[in-house]
Amino acid sequence: MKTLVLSKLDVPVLVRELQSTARLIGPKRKDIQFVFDEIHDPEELVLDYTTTILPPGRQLFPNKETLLTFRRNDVAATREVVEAEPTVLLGVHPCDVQGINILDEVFSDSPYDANYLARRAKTTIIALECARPCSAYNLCFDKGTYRVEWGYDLLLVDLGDRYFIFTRTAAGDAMVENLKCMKPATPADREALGKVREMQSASFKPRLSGPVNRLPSALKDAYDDLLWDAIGRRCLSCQTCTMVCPTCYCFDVRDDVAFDLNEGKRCRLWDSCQSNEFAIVAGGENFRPKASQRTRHRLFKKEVFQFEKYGRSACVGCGRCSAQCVASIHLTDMYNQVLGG
Amino acid sequence: MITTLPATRKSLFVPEPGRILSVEKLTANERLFKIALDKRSLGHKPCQFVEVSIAGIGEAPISITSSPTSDNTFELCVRQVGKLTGVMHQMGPGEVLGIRGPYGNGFPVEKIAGKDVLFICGGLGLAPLRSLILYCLENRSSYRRLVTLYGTKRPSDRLYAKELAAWAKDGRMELHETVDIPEDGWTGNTGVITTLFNRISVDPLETVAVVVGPPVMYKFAVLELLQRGIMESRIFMSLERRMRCGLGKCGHCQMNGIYVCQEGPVFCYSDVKKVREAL
Repeated sequence: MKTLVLSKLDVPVLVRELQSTARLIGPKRKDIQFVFDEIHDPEELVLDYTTTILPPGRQLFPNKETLLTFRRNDVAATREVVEAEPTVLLGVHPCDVQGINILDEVFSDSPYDANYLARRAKTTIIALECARPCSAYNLCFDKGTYRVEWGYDLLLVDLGDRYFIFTRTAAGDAMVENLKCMKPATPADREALGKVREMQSASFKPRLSGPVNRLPSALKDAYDDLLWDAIGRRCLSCQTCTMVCPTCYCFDVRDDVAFDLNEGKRCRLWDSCQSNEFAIVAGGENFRPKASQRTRHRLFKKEVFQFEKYGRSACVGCGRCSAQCVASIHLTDMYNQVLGG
Repeated sequence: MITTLPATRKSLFVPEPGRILSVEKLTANERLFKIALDKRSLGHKPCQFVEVSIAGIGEAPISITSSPTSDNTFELCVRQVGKLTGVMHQMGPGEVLGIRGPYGNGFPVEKIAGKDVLFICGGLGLAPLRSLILYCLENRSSYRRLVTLYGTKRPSDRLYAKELAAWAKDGRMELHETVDIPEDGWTGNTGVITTLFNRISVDPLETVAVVVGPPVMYKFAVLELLQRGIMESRIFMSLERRMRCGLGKCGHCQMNGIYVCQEGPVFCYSDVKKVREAL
């Protein structure tokens, strides 16, 4: 691990250097919100952003990707497509780094997903610590994701006029070798880092009414609670919560046929367990016909099923599902209901 | 940790060509396709499934209805219910489908060796179960009694009508059938499948039961089996879910925390009785 500093005046230099080797994705303004998108001009980059509409992990698992190309009536002409190009994700908050760690684990699970892993292998992640909570909906203190220990190549911490930088991987070490705008950290920089981190720790507060490690058992105990029916009455099944989640990965596969009605592509698209059609089989049976069952399934998938399979939660506490829910259904409220007051 | 992709690997989503050798009309709505892969035998276990692909239409999970001990061909019994199966029903010998698989855990045949095996199937459930019934008939000496209870809505819905009689010939298997709605000429039993249980004798300590049918059937069938003293750990079932990718990723087939396409479709009742979305 190396420690360096980068003057904020040199951020445009950093942007230009990163752009010279890869597609650079970072936080940009979109009206009054922020999005992760390609940075063409250093001016577009907004590193003091709150949170983005979609998490940066969606760059690794795009809303539509080609899995294979085909010719109709010629199965042997089917060709696998793996879309991956060198990419740098710049300014990824710790919760979103953890979101990507979770996707890595899921797509590395046998049988591994070549399309995701190829893209991931070509992606460099430059994380950025948060000085304070970004919204009223974060659970990052409770979830322990306001800081992150691994999953990034470089980590930036805002010291006011400069960034403190940690390298985490060999790729990160190699990267800073080539980035002349960074200088080795001095004892004064380290002291400043300590103060910033102290203030940072003080600004994050717990939002759950009970310990987070009780969630799996508390949710299991609450399987038959009326809470789900109550939430189901409000839920519109609009699927926003799953679209904006850093760890949702359910998908559908569809065929696109070209205008010549011969060639085409088989594509993977995001899908959502919150849609009414999601679990319907050919015979017409729907295994999760109620919004209440689907909401429960979503929370259980985050806190129970993945906990049982991987020994960790799949909710990173980013707060997007709550902030963007059109029916104002908030994860914190549901968790607090099951944890008790 | 992130998996590093191996230098050589098999693509997960690219289907293999599967040539249709023959198509047999089983009922007004179901056809039996005999298919051969170009380069290998499918190598499936009973009760596994494949993803059938038609370029431009999509994919659908179809259970394999033939025995694994047959040659390098395999059979799919397909009901016309949607877009892909509609196109399949228009296809004939010589045409080529895309095949991915086999997927799923398949039936643990070692767990039924030396036992009485009671097959309980409703409607299209006979399609996957036939792969196991044929396997047992081909290895007849490995089992004690083989008993099949088969229920359909109408007599004209019966799959493999000719074969059923052949299976029961020479006492190789006991066969009891029922229909919900009798039609002209039906002389057999009328009523739901549980009405057949009173026609058979069961040795509870030596019997393994296999249940495959529409979702509504499982609870009632399991109840009858438990009532007759059959062990929970000897009641097997194949559960249908929407197996979209077959790879344990896309989420459609999830039954609580279980990806049915990978961990199923065959489950033991003692393992899934507490899985709330299972039965």
